[in-house]
Amino acid sequence: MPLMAARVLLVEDDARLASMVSDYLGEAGFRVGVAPTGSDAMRLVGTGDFDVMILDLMLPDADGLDLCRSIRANSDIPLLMLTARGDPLDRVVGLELGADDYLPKPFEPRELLARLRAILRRRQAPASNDVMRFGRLEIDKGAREVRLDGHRKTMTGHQFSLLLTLAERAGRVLSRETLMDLTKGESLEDFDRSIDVHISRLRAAIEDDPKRPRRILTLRGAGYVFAKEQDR
Amino acid sequence: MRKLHIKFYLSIVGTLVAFLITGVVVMHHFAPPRLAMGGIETATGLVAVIFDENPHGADVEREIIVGLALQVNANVVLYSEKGPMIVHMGGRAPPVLTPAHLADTGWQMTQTGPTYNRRLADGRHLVVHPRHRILALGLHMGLLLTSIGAVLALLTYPLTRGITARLGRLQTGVQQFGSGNLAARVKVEGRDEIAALATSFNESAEHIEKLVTAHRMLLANCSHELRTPLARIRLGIERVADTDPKARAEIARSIAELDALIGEMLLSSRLEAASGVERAEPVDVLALAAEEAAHFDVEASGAPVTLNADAMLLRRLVRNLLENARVHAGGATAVRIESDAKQARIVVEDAGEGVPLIDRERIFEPFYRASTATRASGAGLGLAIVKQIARAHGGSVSYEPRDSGGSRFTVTLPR
Repeated sequence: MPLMAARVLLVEDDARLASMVSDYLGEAGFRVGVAPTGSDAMRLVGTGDFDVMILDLMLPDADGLDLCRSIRANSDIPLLMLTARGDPLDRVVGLELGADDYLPKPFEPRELLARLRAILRRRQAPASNDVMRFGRLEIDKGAREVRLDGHRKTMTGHQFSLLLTLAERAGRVLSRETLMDLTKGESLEDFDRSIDVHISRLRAAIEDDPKRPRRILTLRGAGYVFAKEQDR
Repeated sequence: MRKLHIKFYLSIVGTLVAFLITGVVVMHHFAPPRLAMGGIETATGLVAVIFDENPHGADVEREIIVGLALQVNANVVLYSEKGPMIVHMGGRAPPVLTPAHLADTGWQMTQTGPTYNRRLADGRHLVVHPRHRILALGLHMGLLLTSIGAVLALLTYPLTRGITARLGRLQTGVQQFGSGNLAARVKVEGRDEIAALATSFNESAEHIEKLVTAHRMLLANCSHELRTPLARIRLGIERVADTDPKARAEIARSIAELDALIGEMLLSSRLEAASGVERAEPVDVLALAAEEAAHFDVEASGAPVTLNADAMLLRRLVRNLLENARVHAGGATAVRIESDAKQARIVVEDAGEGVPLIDRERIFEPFYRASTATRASGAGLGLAIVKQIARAHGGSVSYEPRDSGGSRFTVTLPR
């Protein structure tokens, strides 16, 4: 399935926003159908004419979370949840109920495009259990490769191991000693002296600006931390 | 409060005891003894007249004294100046009267009880000691009153327990409501004041539940209704081809600010309603602070410490402090995590102007703007939310000026 010709089902009760979004997505090469209510959405999903779905959480005739649940009961269509609720729990609950991603209103139009493409791409490459996702960064344990915005980043084997070690403990401070212990068995010879070097190579590969790291952070005197929340 | 029925009960029992004591005292000192005392006085007086008018022999006097003793059921002793002369004992020890005692005639208290002392014309003393009978009378009355008291005490316990048990159930209901279960109501039992209280509580609860639900609906809808047009504007500027990029960026920024303000208002009111943290998980505070600080190009420092906290809220707390420093002081200069056995501290410092003394008390209030703050700086909810989040975790936030100028915000969280 070519990405550009993907058919999008937009479930949005605000007609003006719906028409603007469909125009925008249309210009980006998607074909868009709009369902203004939950029952329309259920009917259109049933036809199997769509590749991906954008679902507004607030609809006049149904709660988006309920709708999400019933859609998931019948279909595994990739689902991007669009919400305006301020409650951060909605996001968690939405993702638990089977949404593939989440985007709060008002959204950056380009971000909508990026997320749509990302969940379509993910669906094309199944067995995603081996893939860790941190915002735009994907670490594919199966293929032992790292992608940023879908582009493959090259790195050596033990740089990958080091990254994996960090990522599997995202949100925790790891001292150099801990890092060495955890990556033991991987050509340990000069590892301790060069760990900072490896980190800066990793940064060069996966940071948007290696001088201002957002993903692998240094904590002076304490070690390194891999950022847990990167999609903002 | 929980022991209200005990208090009720104790006051009833206390009243009973006071009643008994008063009863026994009155009985003992006034009513029946008085009757007996009158008899004793009359009889002893008559005997004294007989002894005074016609001197008799000791045998006759003894016979008269025995008669008197039997008549008033008492011990009677005839004293001369040398001591007891004629004694009739009713089975009890005779009172030992000293000359000082004998000098006082009439009723007096001796070691063995009340004693009546009558002086005869020839200087002798007739002493009547009727205590046994009077004490027995007092005991009878006391026993009677005590048994009445005991029965009453037994009967009133379930009564008071019943009243306060209902209050207890009422309190449980109110507590449930207070802890956030707005659907909690209490059962209305009986038709007295407690029942009336239960009824008015239920009515108030109904009213509050309606208000809170309406408020929540309003907030949820506000968010949707405000953000949908914002989304349209955001999409709209993207599609206007030939706009000045600067103007476009300004509109985008304004939208982002408006969106952030809506988010903060929602978050603030949600935190106001919640009594604690909904989702707690172990959080590495140093790692979290480092992540947030990186977005502001600040390096965090300190020792790792793990707290049980809501990571999303804690992130927000750190972000708001950093944002506050960025807006008011040109950015934070240090983010430090300190900890000891009892608490962890998140310290954010800047090298700005600091907060004037008059504003320090109020900077954590919603929408309060320090007198030196410029108009274009943020929503004014940031620090209020910091305080709310710290509180939700059982902690606090404080401000102090740094010696070298600038501000230091310290969030203290219990470990």
